[in-house]
Amino acid sequence: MKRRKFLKNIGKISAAPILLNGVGLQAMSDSSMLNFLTTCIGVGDRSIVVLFLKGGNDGLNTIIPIDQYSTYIGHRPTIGLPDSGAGAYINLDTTLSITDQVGIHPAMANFKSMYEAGKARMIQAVGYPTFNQSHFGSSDLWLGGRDGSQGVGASGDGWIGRFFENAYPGIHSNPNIEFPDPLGVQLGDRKASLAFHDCSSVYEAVNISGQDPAALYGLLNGLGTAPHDTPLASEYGYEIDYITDVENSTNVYGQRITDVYNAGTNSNVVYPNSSLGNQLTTVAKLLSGGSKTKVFQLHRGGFDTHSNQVVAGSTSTGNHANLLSDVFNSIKAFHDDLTNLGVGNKVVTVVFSEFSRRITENGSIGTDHGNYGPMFIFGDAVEPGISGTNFDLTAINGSGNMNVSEMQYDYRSVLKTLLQDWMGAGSDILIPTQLDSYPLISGLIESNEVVDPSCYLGSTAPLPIELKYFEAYLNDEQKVELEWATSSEIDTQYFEIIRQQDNEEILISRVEAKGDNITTQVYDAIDENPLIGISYYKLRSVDIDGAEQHSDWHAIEIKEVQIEHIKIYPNPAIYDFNLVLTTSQSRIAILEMFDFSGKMVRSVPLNIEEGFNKFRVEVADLPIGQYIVKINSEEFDIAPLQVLVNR
Amino acid sequence: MASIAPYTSVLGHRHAMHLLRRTTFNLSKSIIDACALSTAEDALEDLFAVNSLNLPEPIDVQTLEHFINLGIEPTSNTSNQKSYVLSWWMEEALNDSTIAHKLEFFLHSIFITNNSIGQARETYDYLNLFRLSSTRYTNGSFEMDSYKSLALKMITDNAMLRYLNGRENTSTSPNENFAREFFELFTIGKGPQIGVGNYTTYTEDDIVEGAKLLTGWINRTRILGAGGDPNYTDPDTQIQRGDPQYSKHDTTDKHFSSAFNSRIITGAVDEEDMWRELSDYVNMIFDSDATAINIAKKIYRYFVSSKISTEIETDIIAPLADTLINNDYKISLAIKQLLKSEHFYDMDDSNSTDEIIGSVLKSPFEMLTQTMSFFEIERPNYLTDADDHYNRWYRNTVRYVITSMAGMPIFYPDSVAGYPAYYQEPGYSRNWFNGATLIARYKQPEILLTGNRILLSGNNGGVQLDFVKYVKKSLVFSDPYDSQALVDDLIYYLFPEPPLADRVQYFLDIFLDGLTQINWWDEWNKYILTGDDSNVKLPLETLFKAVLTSQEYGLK
Repeated sequence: MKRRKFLKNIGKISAAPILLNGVGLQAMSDSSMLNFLTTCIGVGDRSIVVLFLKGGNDGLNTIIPIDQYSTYIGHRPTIGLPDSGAGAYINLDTTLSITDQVGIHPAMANFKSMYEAGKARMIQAVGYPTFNQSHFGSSDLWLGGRDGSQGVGASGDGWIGRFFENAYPGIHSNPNIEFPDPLGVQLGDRKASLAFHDCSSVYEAVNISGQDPAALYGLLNGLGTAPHDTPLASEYGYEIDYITDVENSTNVYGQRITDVYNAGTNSNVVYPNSSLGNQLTTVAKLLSGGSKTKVFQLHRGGFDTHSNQVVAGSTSTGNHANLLSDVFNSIKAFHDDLTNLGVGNKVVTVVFSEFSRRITENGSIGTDHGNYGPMFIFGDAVEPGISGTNFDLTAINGSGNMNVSEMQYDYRSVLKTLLQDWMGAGSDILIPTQLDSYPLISGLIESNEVVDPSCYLGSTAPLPIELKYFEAYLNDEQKVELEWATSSEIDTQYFEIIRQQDNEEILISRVEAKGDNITTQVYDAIDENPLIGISYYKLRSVDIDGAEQHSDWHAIEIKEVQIEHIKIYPNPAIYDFNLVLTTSQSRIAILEMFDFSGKMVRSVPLNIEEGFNKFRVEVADLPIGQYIVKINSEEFDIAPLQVLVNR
Repeated sequence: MASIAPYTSVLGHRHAMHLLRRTTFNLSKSIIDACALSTAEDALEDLFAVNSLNLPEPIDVQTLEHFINLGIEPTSNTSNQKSYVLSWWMEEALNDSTIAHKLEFFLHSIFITNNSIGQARETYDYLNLFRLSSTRYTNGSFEMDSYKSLALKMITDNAMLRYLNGRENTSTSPNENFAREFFELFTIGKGPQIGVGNYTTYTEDDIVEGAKLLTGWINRTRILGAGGDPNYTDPDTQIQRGDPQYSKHDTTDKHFSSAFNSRIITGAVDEEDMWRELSDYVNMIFDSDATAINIAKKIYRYFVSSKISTEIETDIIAPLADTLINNDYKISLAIKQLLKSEHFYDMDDSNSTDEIIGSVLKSPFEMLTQTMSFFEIERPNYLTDADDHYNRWYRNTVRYVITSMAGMPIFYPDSVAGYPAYYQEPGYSRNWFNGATLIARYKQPEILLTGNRILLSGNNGGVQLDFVKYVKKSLVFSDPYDSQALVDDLIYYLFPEPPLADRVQYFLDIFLDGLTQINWWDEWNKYILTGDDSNVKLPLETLFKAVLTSQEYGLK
């Protein structure tokens, strides 16, 4: 089948725009291709919620291998859950073979209900090689996407940050109107998570822990001072730059978060009144308001249960029970809320802890640090079930830890599977994210939701389109430049650039095709008279036989220039004066200065940048007298200023 | 090459302010000016003078009496009593012109407890151990200046026995929590992981053995009165501590790994012998050079920079570690050596402005205390306005808003690792500044100018700066009539490095907001003649807020 054929009918039906290889196209009518493309629809809208249970969740009082109950209670005579009567564990799924059956903590009834509703899965005995039993060491490994053989804190970057910089290179560190949301949002912990640090150790998220998203922007607005005109090449200068960058991104993203949050809503679901419940309430509201944030990292502490893990004599109650009930009740409320809000199919929640706890109890009614434990994933798209089997409770070492051989999954296999099957990261992204070498776990994501390889982000695989890219951007002169490239052209007659604003489309430019070609051809065009406000541009290609194809719309915003502040000082001037102005956007302008007779005595080009500007104008050579200063620019309308030269 | 050799010149203002920002919470003009005339050697002698407290202990807001050493039963509840202890510490820190409180906070940031547990008296004792260190307390041959002495005393500290489950660690049911952190966070530190459970400097098995060795130490609820219960008063420190219980102790010999030269510590034969075993254990850990290197790195990170290159390891950390090893871990000697080095003043290569000065973000508490001390902002009197002093200002405002909301739950860190700015790679002090902390950090000046808490409802207890009066009376300003001089003088004392001309102009522009210098002269003159500050208040407060929320002021 010739690929060209598929393109003939593009644009004849209207469907939701989809993003392919960075190029938006509209869905096609050819039925065979429609199936293929349907799998891509919505991939760009998916996100992951990562919940970190900090302190080391006791996996063995979370899920109990029913077939080994007597061994279990032998290891845990004081803190073990009963198998019958009040506070007994709940058999999750009696249809499983007996060696796979697990008893879940009675505080996790909501896990069972989600499991039965087809929205929850657990993964047994997850960890990594060369286990590290320190909270900080192991947390850094999990967040960094590394294991104990690679060293803790070796390079200061994390798996989410690496994923971002490779999967979304144009958005990474770069708020723009096509993707106005932060790629990452962190809640529940004011400490910047290592996971979000990219390979340059830049924190690629906005931390809104403890903030009221509705009021965020109002509070941020006006705080801080302007960036420095002259960067300093010193450690001091780098820290100044760091602070400035955080201020800028928090400001930009803070406004977006507030807007999205206020546009969103929660349904009538009741969340637990806890920090985690509040964090998830916020995430649901942001998503319903249109946030496209890719990864939210949440935090629930308190799992370091060295003592008083349970109430003696009533082991299903106490600290650990309260923790589990908060976690699973909150997650249930969250996914119910998402479903009610119509975004239930957009989110997968993944839950982990830096380690599980010792198989044997410690005698302080608690447990010491252990190693491998369960992970959980939730969402409409999650294939319900249990990955792995009950581990052997007799396979423990002298200090009461699980033997190394009992690890069933490397946590990076779970992460890789989520990034590939759910988020659409192919190996060209997974390799630099340092997750590619781990085996994929089949059956985490429902098969009809698994991203087709042809839809992978940034994929270089051949796609049934000839357009390699179409880009629109604003140049320094505030004109819109358009550039596109084709990889194979057959029978294309011409291209047209269409601009739309307020539902009105006009033709901006028509460019003749270069003729049949199988090598890459690059084209450009320019919109000399763009409109103030947000305009949308698209590319239409027209074949000799009249068939058309359309790109997705690209948004360009041109802000109305506002002069917030302009003045001349010192005035009177002796040898020189400063022109200071603050504007909302960069512009090229010319400063002209006239004497009393109207003769121009100065003409100075000004490269005005967004924000604060200062220009120095020499007047030492000018005679004493009154002068007029004009700022000439197409976009500015500034009343002339006066300056007195006096000595 | 970095140089630990002493820097011998007279410091001058730039270097004096650098030293003081890193070592005290108290940066008044007079202290800075005096320090500027000193050499580093002399300045450090002054900084290491023995700090004397304003108040030996906090008061109970309800009885207005001391309640710890005097032994008067407080009427306030435990939570309030603890709050008074912390408020008292913060007020003393603000009045302390020596290094003492900065050093105590350094030690707290390592030997973390979370003060939500235990009693106020135990919090006081816990802090008092740091104070004995910072004041280089001695008792016979016992010297608390030694980090090793402090580590030993921390094992039996009542607050620590509670916090890391030491009191629950018994022979029949060992609890490893304290043993693990004692290695990793308090003493030797973790090296590269070179095998399963092997962290080079110690192993998982060492933790198990260490936990056994530490069994049978239980806390003794602190009673009222100086030194607490005489039966449990530590003879070295005179502070009440926990106690050995032989019946709960694992009496077997403890076998340590090759990281400790396969050392065997003989199990105690009776209760008295448990002290010997403890001491053997601490000696074993401090015999390792890795411990000295780890502590030297902690000192370097806290006082100088989080960036430790191999050059720094060789040229700075190694000699500091030697000093510790050769002087029984007396930290004052290592800190002095570091803070008078050419390296600390960035005078060890041709570029003296590129590495150290201004390279670290201040904690929110450092920002507050620098502002409070430099602008001479008074707190409500601890006796006549005790409720405002202890509750509205220190607890409700400083702790709940200014520090906690800016990422520094002071004395209540959320993990035993402490405050991320002191340990978390890659950012270290950058952890003070992100989207979740920026607002509270930058609302400080508004809280001080308005007397309100801003981010929570209610007033701050009456702490309020009249910046106009300050400008009028303070010797900081050579000529308040001259707007340029006013801005220059203000920035001079607040920024780590002299700003470039365009940056000064930026603040001047914000200040004058379109007025000319002559206009300002007129307005200030009117204020001086009439006392009516209505025209000068807004520009001055705008300038104050801009300077205090600048990137530069956030750095030290």
